[in-house]
Amino acid sequence: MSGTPGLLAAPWAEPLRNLGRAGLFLPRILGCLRPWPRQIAEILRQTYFVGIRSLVIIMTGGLFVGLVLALQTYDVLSDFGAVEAVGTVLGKSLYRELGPVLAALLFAGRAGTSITAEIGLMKATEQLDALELMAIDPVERIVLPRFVAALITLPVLTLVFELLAILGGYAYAVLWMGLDNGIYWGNMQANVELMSEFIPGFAKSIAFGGICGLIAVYYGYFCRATGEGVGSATTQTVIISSILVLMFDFILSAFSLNLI
Amino acid sequence: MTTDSLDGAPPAVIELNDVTFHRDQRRILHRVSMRVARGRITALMGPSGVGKSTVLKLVTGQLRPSSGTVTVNGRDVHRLSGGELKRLRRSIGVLLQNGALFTDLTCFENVALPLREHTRLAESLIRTVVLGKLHAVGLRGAQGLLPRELSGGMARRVALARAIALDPAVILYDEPLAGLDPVSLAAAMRLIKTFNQALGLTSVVITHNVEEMQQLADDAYLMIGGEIAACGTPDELAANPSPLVRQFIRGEPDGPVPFHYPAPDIAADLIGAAV
Repeated sequence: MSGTPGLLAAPWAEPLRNLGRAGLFLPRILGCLRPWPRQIAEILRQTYFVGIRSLVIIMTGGLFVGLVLALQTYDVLSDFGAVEAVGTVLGKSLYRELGPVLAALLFAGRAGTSITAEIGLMKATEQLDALELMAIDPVERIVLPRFVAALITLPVLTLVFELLAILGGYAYAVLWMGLDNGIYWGNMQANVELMSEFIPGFAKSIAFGGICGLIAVYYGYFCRATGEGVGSATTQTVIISSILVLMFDFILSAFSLNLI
Repeated sequence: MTTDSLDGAPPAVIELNDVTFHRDQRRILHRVSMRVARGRITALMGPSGVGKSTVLKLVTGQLRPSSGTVTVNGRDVHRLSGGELKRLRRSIGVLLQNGALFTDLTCFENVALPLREHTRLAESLIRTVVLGKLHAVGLRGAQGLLPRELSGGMARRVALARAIALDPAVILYDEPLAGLDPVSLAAAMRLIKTFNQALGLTSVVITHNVEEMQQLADDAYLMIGGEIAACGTPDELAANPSPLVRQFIRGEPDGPVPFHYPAPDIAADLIGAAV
């Protein structure tokens, strides 16, 4: 390809190639899944670490997203005399879209980069080679537990994010602006649907956990074994994970609304 | 020179026959043949970047030769199935250049890792074995330390304890003596020699350290430019009349291997720049 179309297409070529390779890497990772106590223990250990790494940023992010969301909606709804709907708007927007997406973006920036850097450094310092030489599969020992940990952790962190956002909204709307406590909770409870809103949002967070986990382990495992290579891989992890989360958010939203 | 000069030695454990290896069109090894005899310490020497570590990776099956064969105990490494290759790797201990200890595990856990992965030993027995190995390298007292709390020499000794955890028959050392202070160097050399004799190992030591090689090795190969330039006992290598071998053994900066990277004539280069 040459000329302007070529220039526009070039930046996409390498990420697309890597996405294909990451897709091919997934069956190899899942093929290492064994119900062995040692593997389960390592998955739980990684789940704990991945969760702990992201917990503070998720909680802080959730709280402020709730605060700002309540602030903006309260301001707009007050023009129409409909401030009672703040709880409903917050619940619907958080469970359906903002909770899973923002938690995934924060997760990719915090835990995703951390996983990539950790695996990349293990590669640069020959620790992955050492495992291979000890007849231990690095994919089974290092990659799989981190991938599964991301898959498990992100949905849980999304719930934490949503909980803190709802509490942030409560703090602004009820404690600060004086909205009735019962109206805030009652409207949210009455208007947010479990099956059509909460469950699809939760399913999204599982998919995003898989995406963020796969991209993080792929870029770490296949990075160049140099300082520059690890740095570049961590940057790629954030960029690719974020774009994929936003793309899949649209696809999954359309799917949940029966548009495709 | 060919590997024939080593005839009469004990049977070969590792053999490379006419091995050529390319990476991205670049030739790394060219028709390398070598033979590592059972129970001996064989040094593989040569300047940096000459392909010594590539030989190690070919022996462990991490790389596949472009042509030629690599055999360990008579079996072609690159024709083994996945399971057979794993069994082979369990029988070979490898000490990598910087030790490659797992940074999130203590010294004890690093040494215990291969035992936990490949054996069903009770925890009390694993503890006994690990402490025995750490004691052998003089670091039983450092069992609870993390790799970041160790000096370079200590880290390599822990890695050596890990490499012998499964009692391998063959051990490969990748630059075990590089960058060590005199005390650590002497300790490392003594350990390599002692383990080889006491445990009946076969050892391959990759090094560019001439003096230490002469004290340590029973046999030695010299690689230059991806080819075997000479082989024999350390004394035979020292007496080799080849200018290429002499330059390396005596550490001369210029000779058949030039000091300067190939470049245009300096006068033309400088005048050209001025114009």
